[in-house]
Amino acid sequence: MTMVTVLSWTASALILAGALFSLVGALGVLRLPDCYTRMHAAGKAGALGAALILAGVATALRSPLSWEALFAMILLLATAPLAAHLIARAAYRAGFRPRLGGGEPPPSPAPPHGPPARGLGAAEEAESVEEPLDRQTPAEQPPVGVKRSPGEGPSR
Amino acid sequence: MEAHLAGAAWVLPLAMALLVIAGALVLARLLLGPTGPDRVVAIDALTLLGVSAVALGAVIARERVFLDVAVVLSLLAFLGTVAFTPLFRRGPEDSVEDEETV
Repeated sequence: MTMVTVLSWTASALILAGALFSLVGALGVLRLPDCYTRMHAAGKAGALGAALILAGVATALRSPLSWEALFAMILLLATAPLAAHLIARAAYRAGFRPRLGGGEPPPSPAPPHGPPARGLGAAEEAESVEEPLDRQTPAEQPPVGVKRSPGEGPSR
Repeated sequence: MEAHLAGAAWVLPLAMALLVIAGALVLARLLLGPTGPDRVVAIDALTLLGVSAVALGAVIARERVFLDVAVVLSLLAFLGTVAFTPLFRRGPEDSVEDEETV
């Protein structure tokens, strides 16, 4: 088996693996329960899928080496964690509480001024989530979010 | 130019079909995502899928120019996400408080 054949099959395998990772990331974006876990699916699986596809394209188009695909891959791997971190930080600052394990989400901190935070109600959360992932928690374990006092603000 | 790709007759349509399915799933989350951050995450994931699709299009069409489009689109994915993040603020008072904690 020559080197050209090995590189051709490597390119095909990279492209297929990238498409599969993109599909898994999209499935996570659709199915996971709150915006932080969705951000985790989009920021890790989606970025890895796109980077794998770009690596496969760079392997396929090598007759002059395609620096553009490699540059796009490096750019993607450098900026996708930053984007995910920015989304999570801004959402947490804005009052969206992450969904903790053990039944009910923790009470949202009531702001001393201004309207209540958007999209935080338990009813809306329960309507939007088809299948909560934490139903199998044993009854004797207390919920994790119980100790959080209602007036607690966003921690640094 | 030519593309050195084994089994390109079925690998490229299969990968493109997987990307289209993934785009449909993310689009569903974009349309029904209940909160703002959900939609921004969906837009981010959709742009990443667009980068992948454009790169595959460069192989399919044998056009190297599409890779420049992929570079610009991956820059726009980051900049678009950064541009959306200030919209999560609750109100002007909270934004003043946030400025102190940056």
